[in-house]
Amino acid sequence: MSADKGKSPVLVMVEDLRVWFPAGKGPSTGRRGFIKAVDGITFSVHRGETLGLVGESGCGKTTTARAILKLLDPTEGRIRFDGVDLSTVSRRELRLIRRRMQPVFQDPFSSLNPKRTVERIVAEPLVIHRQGTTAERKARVSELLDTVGLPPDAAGRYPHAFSGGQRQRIAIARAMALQPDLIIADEPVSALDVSIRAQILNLLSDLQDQFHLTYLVIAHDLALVRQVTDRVGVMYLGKLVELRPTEDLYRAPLHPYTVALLSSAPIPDTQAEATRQRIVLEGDVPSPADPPTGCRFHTRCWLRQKLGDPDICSAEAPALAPVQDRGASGVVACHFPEAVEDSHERRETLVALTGSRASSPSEGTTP
Amino acid sequence: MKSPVAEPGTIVADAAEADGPLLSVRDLSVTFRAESLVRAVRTVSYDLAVGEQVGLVGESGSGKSAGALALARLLPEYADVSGTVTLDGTNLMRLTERELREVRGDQIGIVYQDPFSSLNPVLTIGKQLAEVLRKHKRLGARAARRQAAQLLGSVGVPNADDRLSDYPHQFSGGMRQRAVIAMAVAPRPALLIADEPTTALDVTVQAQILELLDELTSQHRTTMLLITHDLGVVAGVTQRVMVMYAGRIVESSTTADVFTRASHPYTVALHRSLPRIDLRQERLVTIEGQPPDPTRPAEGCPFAPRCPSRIDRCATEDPPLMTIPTARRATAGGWNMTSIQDADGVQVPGPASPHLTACWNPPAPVGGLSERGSTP
Ligand SMILES: Nc1ncnc2c1ncn2[C@@H]1O[C@H](COP(=O)(O)OP(=O)(O)O)[C@@H](O)[C@H]1O
Ligand SMILES: Nc1ncnc2c1ncn2[C@@H]1O[C@H](COP(=O)(O)OP(=O)(O)O)[C@@H](O)[C@H]1O
Ligand code: SF4
Ligand code: SF4
Ligand SMILES: [Mg+2]
Ligand SMILES: [Mg+2]
Repeated sequence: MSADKGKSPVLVMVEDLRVWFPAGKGPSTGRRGFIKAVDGITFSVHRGETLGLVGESGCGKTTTARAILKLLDPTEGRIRFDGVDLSTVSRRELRLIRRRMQPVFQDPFSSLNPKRTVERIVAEPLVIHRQGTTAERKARVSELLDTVGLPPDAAGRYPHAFSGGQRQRIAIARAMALQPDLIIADEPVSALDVSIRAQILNLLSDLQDQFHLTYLVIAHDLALVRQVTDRVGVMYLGKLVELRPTEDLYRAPLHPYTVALLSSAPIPDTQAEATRQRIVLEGDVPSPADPPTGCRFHTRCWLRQKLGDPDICSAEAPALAPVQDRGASGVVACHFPEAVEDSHERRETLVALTGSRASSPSEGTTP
Repeated sequence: MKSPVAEPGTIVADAAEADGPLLSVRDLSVTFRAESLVRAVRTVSYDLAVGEQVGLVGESGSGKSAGALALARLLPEYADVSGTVTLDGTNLMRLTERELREVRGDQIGIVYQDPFSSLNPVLTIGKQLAEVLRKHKRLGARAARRQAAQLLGSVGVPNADDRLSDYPHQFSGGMRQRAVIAMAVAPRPALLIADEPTTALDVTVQAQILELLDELTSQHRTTMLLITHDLGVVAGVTQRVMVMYAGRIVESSTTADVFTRASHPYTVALHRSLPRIDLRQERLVTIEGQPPDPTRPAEGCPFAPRCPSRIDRCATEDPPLMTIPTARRATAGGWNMTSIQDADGVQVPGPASPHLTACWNPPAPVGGLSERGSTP
């Protein structure tokens, strides 16, 4: 992938997005509170790039995606698509924008209507947006089926006649029908058989090259994210904690949570597994209804413990700040990124990931 | 750390002194009489020794769960099960339902992917733990309650005393799985079956749970069958791996071998098709096609339609598990099933068995993901 994608124009701009859901009464206060599913995140997606979002379940990835798709309204903040502010957009304009961004969901079993033929499913966006005549739509469906690698006779059949992988191809064909600019794929292969995931990942990559697509990919599998993304945002409890070019993130992570995620990932290598020292995060992710003060990660942070519990971690929320001064690109939200860089925890994690001490990665590379 | 000695007086220690394997499975087949017949497991045989941690790896639908549930005879009525399952000298297939209930829990513990399936939603965690202790360790009610807190603490639930009065839904996913593990190991079963125990959990929690399972089973020399679709999961915990495809074991060896010298074309292809966390590949290698439909088992090798190493005989003869030299001779021609069995006997995966592959034409051993840091 080209290293210049970060410099291409911005397609989606997310500014200080907050999405709060009303929650039941708090146990201590007795007042009605909010689940702060997304609580102030800012990032952009550039044309032609693949941006990944990772983080443990419940950290707000899907909510972010749904806000961009305007399937829900932000509590605060702004989302711009190709410069247009989605909160003030007219209905007419919104219709045009909806055509340009399409979702692909995790579960191709529930996302396809079982009572409709593949032809109707794939043509549905064309019908909704009144594109072409019946004959033209038919032709377009055949073209799309061919593009995603399904046989022409698939058009007349029903979803149940297809395997999981083929169903995800159908879902992708439908997403492609209106020639979108942006595809938002939420765990696109995690419901599929292991042996066919590569087929779908390669298909997504081919479609991107062929049609100059922009992707926002949500996934929890860190190996997959390294393979398919240009940049990665790591989320924790409704916040972005680190956003870096993919290779930088894996070679020189700067947030303690990112290091912990990499340290937890299973490695298909018995040698590495036998010798690695894992960072064990204590406890569970706190509730988004009552997030910790200061840095949200402070209740579980291994670095904070190591630094002797500096007050600032629990008192002051670290801003998402550029990391240029350490010769890297991207942003990180931690008061002590230099201590991450110097830590033996990070060194051990990276050694385990790359398999050998000799080929341990160069620090702080810039693409 | 693996502790070399079992605690005296436990079932495990008795089994350790007995000759032969703890669990012996022979020609196990499971067919579901659903709308059409589903051949879920097809003549699977293997041995597990005392204290071994063995991975059973395969993609969804390959028959892992059906095969494991059949061991404890937990399958529904409409499942036809044949073959023998011998645990510590007892053929489980002959036991009455009552006898089986004793075996389950006492000798076989099971941890499922979804902890809710092992928990009663309307009873507190404490009640459920105490019940297990009372039943299987024959403790009185008060002693059981006291030990319940200890047990919950021993699987890493903080403030265990206070949390005994919680209901399952008040626990996080990871904590619930810990509670279920506590219940499964409390009777000190000789065999622990963990069926995708971490699949529903996040990576940071997954790492904790795998560590816990490793610790508990090593400590008590419990034999563990760890079932997963994720190759990465078995690398850290198991000594041996059996790979399943379409209801059969297609490869069996030490865990290290399966990662560095995979021999069956399916295992090799799987290694190559996986994204790697250590580097980005130019392009993922795909496995064409899809797993076979278990309602229509074809003649010959089940992987044949997708296999790059396919030769003529693959279409008609389903290969048995054989050693790699035997498989090589088979490739050269002239070797048929009978001569293979005459030469080597039927090969059954077990603690001392060599690297086995069910393939007529295994490619030269290929490193999988673990040949790392070599390609850019
Ligand atoms: N419609 C909703 N109502 C209330 N809470 C919600 C809703 N959708 C999501 N949440 C909560 O918001 C948080 C973030 O959820 P989600 O965005 O789905 O996370 P992720 O996709 O990262 O797993 C979770 O705590 C979830 O329970
Ligand atoms: N209770 C059941 N009734 C009918 N078919 C079943 C049942 N359980 C499993 N199967 C079928 O048996 C095959 C093997 O399933 P399973 O053992 O659950 O696979 P795995 O655990 O490897 O994912 C699949 O084709 C599955 O659909
Ligand atoms: S700010 Fe403090 S608590 Fe937060 S990640 Fe950095 S070191 Fe840890
Ligand atoms: S027996 Fe034949 S088809 Fe089956 S895996 Fe081996 S080479 Fe491939
Ligand atoms: Mg989600
Ligand atoms: Mg299963």
